[in-house]
Amino acid sequence: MDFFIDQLGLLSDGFSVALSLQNMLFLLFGVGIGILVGVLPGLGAANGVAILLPLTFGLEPVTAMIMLTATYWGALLGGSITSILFNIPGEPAALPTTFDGHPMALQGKASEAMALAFSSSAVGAMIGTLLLTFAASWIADFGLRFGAPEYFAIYLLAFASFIGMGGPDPIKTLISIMVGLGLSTIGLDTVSGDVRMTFGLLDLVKGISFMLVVIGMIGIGELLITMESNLELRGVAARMDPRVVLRTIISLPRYWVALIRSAAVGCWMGVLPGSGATIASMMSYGFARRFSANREAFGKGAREGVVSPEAADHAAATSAMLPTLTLGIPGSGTAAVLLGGLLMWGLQPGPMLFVSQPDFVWGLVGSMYLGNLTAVVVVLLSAPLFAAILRIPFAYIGPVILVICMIGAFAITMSLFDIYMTLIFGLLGYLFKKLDYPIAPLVLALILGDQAEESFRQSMILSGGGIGIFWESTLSKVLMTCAALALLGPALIKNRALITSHLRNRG
Amino acid sequence: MNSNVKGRFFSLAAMVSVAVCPLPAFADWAPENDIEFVATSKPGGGTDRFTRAIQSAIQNNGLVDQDIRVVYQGAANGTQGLVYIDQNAGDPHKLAFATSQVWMLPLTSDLGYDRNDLTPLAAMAFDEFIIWVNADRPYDTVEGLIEAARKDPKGIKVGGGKSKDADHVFTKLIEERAGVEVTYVPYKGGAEAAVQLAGGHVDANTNNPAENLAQWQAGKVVPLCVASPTRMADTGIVAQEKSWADIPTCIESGLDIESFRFPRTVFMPGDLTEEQLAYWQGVMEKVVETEEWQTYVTNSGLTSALKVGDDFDAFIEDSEGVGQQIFENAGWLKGN
Amino acid sequence: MLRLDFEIKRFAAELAFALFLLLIGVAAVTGALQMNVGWRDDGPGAGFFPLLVGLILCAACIVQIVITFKARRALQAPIFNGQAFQNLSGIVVPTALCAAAIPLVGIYVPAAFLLAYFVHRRTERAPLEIAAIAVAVPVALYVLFDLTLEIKLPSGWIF
Repeated sequence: MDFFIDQLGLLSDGFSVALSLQNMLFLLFGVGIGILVGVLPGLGAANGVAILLPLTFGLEPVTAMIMLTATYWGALLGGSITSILFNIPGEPAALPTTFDGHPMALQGKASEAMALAFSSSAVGAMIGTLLLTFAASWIADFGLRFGAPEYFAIYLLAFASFIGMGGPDPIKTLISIMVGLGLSTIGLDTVSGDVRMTFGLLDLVKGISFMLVVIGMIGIGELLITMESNLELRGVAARMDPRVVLRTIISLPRYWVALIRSAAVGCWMGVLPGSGATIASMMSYGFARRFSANREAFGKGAREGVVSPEAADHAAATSAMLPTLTLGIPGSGTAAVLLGGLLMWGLQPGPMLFVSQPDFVWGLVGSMYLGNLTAVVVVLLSAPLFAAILRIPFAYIGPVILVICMIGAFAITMSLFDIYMTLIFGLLGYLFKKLDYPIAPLVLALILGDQAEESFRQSMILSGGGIGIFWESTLSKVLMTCAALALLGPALIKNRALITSHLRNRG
Repeated sequence: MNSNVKGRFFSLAAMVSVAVCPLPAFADWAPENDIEFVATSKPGGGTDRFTRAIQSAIQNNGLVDQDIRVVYQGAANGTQGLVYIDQNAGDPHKLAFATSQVWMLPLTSDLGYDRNDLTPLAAMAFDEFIIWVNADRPYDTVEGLIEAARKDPKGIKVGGGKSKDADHVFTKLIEERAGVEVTYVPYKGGAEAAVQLAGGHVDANTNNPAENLAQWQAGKVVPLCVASPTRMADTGIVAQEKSWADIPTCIESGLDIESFRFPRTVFMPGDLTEEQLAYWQGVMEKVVETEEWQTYVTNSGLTSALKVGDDFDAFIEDSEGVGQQIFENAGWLKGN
Repeated sequence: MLRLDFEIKRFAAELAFALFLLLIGVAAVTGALQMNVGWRDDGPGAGFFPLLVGLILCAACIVQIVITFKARRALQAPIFNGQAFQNLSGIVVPTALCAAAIPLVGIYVPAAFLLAYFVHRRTERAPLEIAAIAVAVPVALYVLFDLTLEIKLPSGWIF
């Protein structure tokens, strides 16, 4: 009990640091820039924070950190806006939100979708921050137990959670996954040091960023499909009706199961170094669909399909601060940039940080509560602005979206080649959509493929070639079993009548 | 186009062509356009911090008039940035910040640039290599580690950043000089190798001081020796009541590696003039005297040591030679 | 002049696409075979997984082709025609031209033209208005990206 009281005391000190005028101003500024960056496709939280980093040279470390983390939360929220309104994720972690958020917008429920997204994000963020407040060192120690086999098991689990995503056509889903896996192998191979599958093209040595594929296949592909039948990008009447917003927020507790589950997935992925918000949101969506009573509704505007990924990615983002601060290991890509900032300002992350710099750490934690809530309020207020954009005729907005997609693709690594790649993926995405090949499995395979393969091969190096290593530690045994269940579960349940009768006849 | 736009176009073109026309060569060259600092890593990495430290040293002390912008081109071990610099021969407004990867990586694969086409500007600081072990392991000296490796060929696992990169080379060097065989496990970078060591998933790693410091402070890893001719200079207590200077050198500990260090380097495009090179050398010479630089070096556990011109060229030749030999023995050379 | 009254049946489209993906699978296998595909005692080589993936992709594509043939009768509906082609070209061609022009003149100029073209073809606005919009948007983008966010976009020879 003492422990909790101590932590609360530290937290209240932190609030008093965070609530200074200067820090609050920078918080608002960070949120604003973050939302802007999040809305633009191709510019994710990581770029946004990296861009602002030089501006922080003259600031107090705690102020700088507050601003940058505020940018992080803002970017995640901004990404959801474009996901819902335009079916184009503005931030990688917002991809699953397009699955049900955009259909909801098309059904005239844009306000509701956004209100759901933002309030779930707030809940996820709060849970992640609570974890950071009370469980920091315990969770950090847990994170250390993950070696290569455990990571592989996690990736397998993530994959398994999504394997049902393909829809009715298993062969086309398989093809989609294989294409994604193939694309993920392009580039420099960590384990052997060799360059793979580039066919002599230097620009491919850096691999294919999944953001490219998302912008191209999903963003531009969507545009092409709409254009083909000369439709307009339908301008949904999306006025942010405060009553709808309020009603939606009040209805949130109905989804407490999805919220808790998603926050758990998010916190876990955030705490593990190297995963992060994007994988968290996809996994969470996959689980939500798996465990839902109403599976057919997913993909057509199911509310849980918005609640789950949003809660997860914000939980992941906030809990990614945990290993970053306590171990000096970034819990996500954006956290890696923040870590660089910490080191730049002369702070040494590690268990000592909490002791030697309590003002900084607790000021930051205090700002995480305030920052996330502020960001949600700001985005709720500014969302009508973005909703109004949809009503601009396609003649104007079409080319602007195209140009911004090209800019976004360029900005990933400042490469002209990427612009062409994304346009090619646009055509490919059109073909996929036209002929009913699912795209989501491709994207997931692209994200996970290389990492999973790397972990597998690292495990093989560690075990000298033996597969048994995946069943050595308790942790990996548990994870592998979960993965197996996730893979086989639905098949077992579907056929359980068959199985039970078979068993009965036997016995 | 209507005539208004045409007119605007031509006057703009005229202005631009005047601006980029070569100015008469005065004795002292100074940059005319914005400067681009190309960091050959992702944001937050060691190279990024190196780049930004120099940027802040220059900007806070007004060493250069122009704006400096940091650009990230870190893909493929930073090759992306080096290719970019290679493609911009003759442009004195772009600097690439890297490590020894510039001349080491091309030994093993075709990466799209020839290191001889780039202009080496300076090596500015050195990152030491320390042999660390997980704190729960029974051996706490280098001798103990080598003994254990001898008893169990390929049984000791050493984690490092990437494959065929500095950590891997250093591990190969240890194998050669100590006469043992270990298993090297490549991770994405030093940070990941640090965590894996702390978690006990590998037995040892060869990280730079800054990369493992937090784990040392947490009591999860222990430094055994540093591959440097002399002990590190910093005598302030950093972890577990020890200082950097408390770590013995490898020679002292019985391992015949006198020096293996990671230089932080600056390269520029080829085809530069003498004045341009002299200008930037001068800037870097001033940078290492600044407070910002000192803070960066101390916080990162680096050794500050400026090498320019022939000094630097000789260093590169040397280092390339050692690398060549190790790669040959390991069978990694291009074309194998 | 292009004949725009053609029709492509779904069957042909599915077949063609599956064949295309099969070619990609073959390319993957070829690329993989150039590397080490064995499984030594430190695990699979660099080419192992690409090879596996490529082979599975080829197999799946062949199965898909067979399925397509078997369902031939059900796939006789047209899926693409001249009108669709015209609509698509209206967006693909200008975008491709815009992208091709970027290395030469940067991104702002082609963007202006792209916008002007779209507005001209789909609305009834006067040329002067179109020009104003076409210039205003790239300028706004410039302010946003170059000045505020400090991301230098490609600027070709002119800007």
